[in-house]
Amino acid sequence: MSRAEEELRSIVRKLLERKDVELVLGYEYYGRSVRPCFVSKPEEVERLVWNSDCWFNLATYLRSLRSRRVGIVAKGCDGRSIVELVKENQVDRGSIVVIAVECNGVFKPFKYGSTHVGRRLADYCRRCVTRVSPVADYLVKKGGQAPEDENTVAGDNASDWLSLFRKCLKCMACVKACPLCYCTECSIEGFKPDLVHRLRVPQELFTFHLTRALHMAGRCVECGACESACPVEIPLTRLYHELNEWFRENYGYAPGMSLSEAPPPLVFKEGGED
Amino acid sequence: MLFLDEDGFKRLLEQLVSNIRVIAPVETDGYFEFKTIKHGGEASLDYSNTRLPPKRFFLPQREVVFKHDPKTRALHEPMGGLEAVLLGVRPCDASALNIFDSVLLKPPNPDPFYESRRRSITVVSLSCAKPREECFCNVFEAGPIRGSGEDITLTRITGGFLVEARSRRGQSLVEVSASLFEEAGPEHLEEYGELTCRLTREMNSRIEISRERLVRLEATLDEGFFQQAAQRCVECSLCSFTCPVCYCFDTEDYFEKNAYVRTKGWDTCASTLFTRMASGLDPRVSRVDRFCHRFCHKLSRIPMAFNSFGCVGCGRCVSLCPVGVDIREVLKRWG
Amino acid sequence: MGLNPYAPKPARIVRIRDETPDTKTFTLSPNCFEGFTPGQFAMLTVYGVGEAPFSICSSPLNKDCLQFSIRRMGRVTRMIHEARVGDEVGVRGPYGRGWPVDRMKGRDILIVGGGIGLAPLRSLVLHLLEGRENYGEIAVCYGARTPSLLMYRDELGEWAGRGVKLYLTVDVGEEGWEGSVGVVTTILGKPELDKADAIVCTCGPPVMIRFVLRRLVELGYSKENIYASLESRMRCGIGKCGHCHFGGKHVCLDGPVFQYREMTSLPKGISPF
Repeated sequence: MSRAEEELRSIVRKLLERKDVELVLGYEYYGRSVRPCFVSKPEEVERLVWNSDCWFNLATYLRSLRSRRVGIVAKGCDGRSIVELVKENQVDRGSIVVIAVECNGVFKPFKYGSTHVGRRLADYCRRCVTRVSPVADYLVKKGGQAPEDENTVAGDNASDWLSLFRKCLKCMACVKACPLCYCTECSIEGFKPDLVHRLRVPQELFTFHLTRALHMAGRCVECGACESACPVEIPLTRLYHELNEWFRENYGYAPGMSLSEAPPPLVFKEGGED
Repeated sequence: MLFLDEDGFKRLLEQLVSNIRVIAPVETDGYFEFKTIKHGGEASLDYSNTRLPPKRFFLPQREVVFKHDPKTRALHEPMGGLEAVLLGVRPCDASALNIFDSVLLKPPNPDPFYESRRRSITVVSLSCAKPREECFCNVFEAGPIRGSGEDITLTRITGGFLVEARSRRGQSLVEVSASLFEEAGPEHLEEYGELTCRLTREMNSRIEISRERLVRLEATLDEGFFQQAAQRCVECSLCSFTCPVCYCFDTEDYFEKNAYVRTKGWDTCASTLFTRMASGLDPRVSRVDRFCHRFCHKLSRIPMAFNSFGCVGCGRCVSLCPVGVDIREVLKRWG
Repeated sequence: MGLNPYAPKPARIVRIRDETPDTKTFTLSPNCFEGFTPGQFAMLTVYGVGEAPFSICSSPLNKDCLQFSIRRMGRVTRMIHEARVGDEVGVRGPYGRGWPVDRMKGRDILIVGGGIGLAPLRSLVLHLLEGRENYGEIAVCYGARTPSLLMYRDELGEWAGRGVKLYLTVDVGEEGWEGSVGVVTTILGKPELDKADAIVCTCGPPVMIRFVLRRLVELGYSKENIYASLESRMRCGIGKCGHCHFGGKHVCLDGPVFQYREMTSLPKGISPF
């Protein structure tokens, strides 16, 4: 157990003992990997871990727990998604306790049938701008450098999005793993709005991904949960990063950096600037 | 049981490739995927398993099942599939075909699209020598040596392969190239026996359960356990879409190129839309119910109806689930 | 190669009758079924739009056409409502298990409907009326939210004239309504039937079915003889697609008509209990 983990557990134990929160969202070991866990009793805090396999963004669960007081272990990017959720009125900042963990980047998760051996830092972590969450009630320092790649494999430099999308199964893991994909009637999930036919594969994969990308522009905090959840490893975060860059250049806004800065689409007024 | 030496295997593969479409695992971008190969050398047989199961060759993610041209009034009828050999399917994935047969070919309404594909593809399985960490095929008797849906089972032993024809179609494929095969000798059979013993022991040491108890899962459902486990589920369809057994489908109609088209394609019970009716009523409204349904269907209802489980233990859902939902935890608790 | 079970047969709309403000009865010809049991359903296709399951509401003895009463609900039903006489739709079926007509000979029969739930029961009533002398008393208890939402209004009188005891009720009366006011369970006690032996068939909204079943048992009807028609989302109608699979039963194969005891073993949600 690392010093950071020890500190994390003691914070969570204190929160649960004092009944400051009903539940803490954290990570636990699972085989040789790590998965989300829900801790609600002080004696369960020993399950909690914090390491470079904790790629999942726990903020995804916050909306479904809206009625409860919840503690959440948040990396830098997770914290940014909490900021966006608060600004979009999806969660109440007052009812969540953010336990920020300093993050040096996460590994790409192990995938079934992969021939890669050794761990590799996720590509999106190489572009990270916030190692610590911009909102924090507690801070767990980790220190040290970004984890080293265990072997050198060339990074994804595929740029042919069409052939990348062709691999897509439309399994919705990217949508469901995303903390900011919360629309109750999703336009790309099909059924009622029927914008993108669910079964038109591969014809409408391009529409599917670009529709999602447009909705993420200027909102995506680049936590990479979609990319890591993807069973066929489409580097989605890179697409959203490009759109974010465009958004930043044009509107001077980067999502999730501060609670006070309003997202341009939300302050857009009819009839011009005044 | 027959023996095919390394050289014979290479020649058999070349013969097949020149005569028929051969689909085999090929390494691409750090993964193995089933692809049509042009020459024998493309196939790699040194794989743990393919990223995605060979399900799509039998049940494509999307297929047209009905076409109606309002002008010519021509109807679309199911076509005979293209003859092919699917080589190097792992026994677990081959066993999934057995479940497809039970469900989709069940009279009085067999699915003619599945039937034609199943009839035109010869499945050659390759036994696992090194089961993956997340594999549990032993639980369902779907491997690691023999599965239950293949036409031929190959097992790699020193110097070549042991060949077991499992169906008439498999038998005839062997007969076409009879000169390449020889009767397996006692040393081959001894090695095969040892391999079977070793692998069975290894797998059983990981997980061993009572199948009789497991079938009663639905009757003895423990909501508390599932509520805990379902909390984590984010309801994507990754587990269904990467599962070799999940066969549930949806249909969709639209107008395309002067014709009314009906397509049929993969669907998932994890979706909140799966049982929702047009009126908005939904008999399976909670996340826990949807979560339970997946396990009950596979582990309780399919075995009750067809005498084989709806899971083959390939481990894909275990490994790929973004939030670590693990079917083995259900098995350990109920089996 | 087997027949394509996903391909519908074409049929033309020959008559459209308004039943209620949001429900119409469509008569389709030809009748492409060789025969069916009252209570069975068919899949109707609006070409290029989609397909949905509907109860057949015409008599099985009508060999010329099929009738469906359809309420405007989703995409498919909205398109059907926009159709005109002469338009072509697709039909496939008949699917599922209908009402237990074989068990009805010589017995009293109670039919309980709510709203559009009368559709599959109409098929049964018409079937029973064709051989009226083979059955004991036939009583129909039918309720709707308002008088204008009662289905088959001009036909109900004719049923009564042919030996059906008719009991109507509405949740909320309107001007000119002189019948009973209240939910359908309030009139279930009125028919005087041989309760131990009578066959009961019910269909309506899930919440209605729940209370009707409870009331029927209170009144002394035998659980063995109570049947209800349930609904669920369906895609294939032939037990393959998995949408209507609940607790080991396929609504499309084992239903839509279920016996009381079968319903008790269905999982909550689909089960009316």
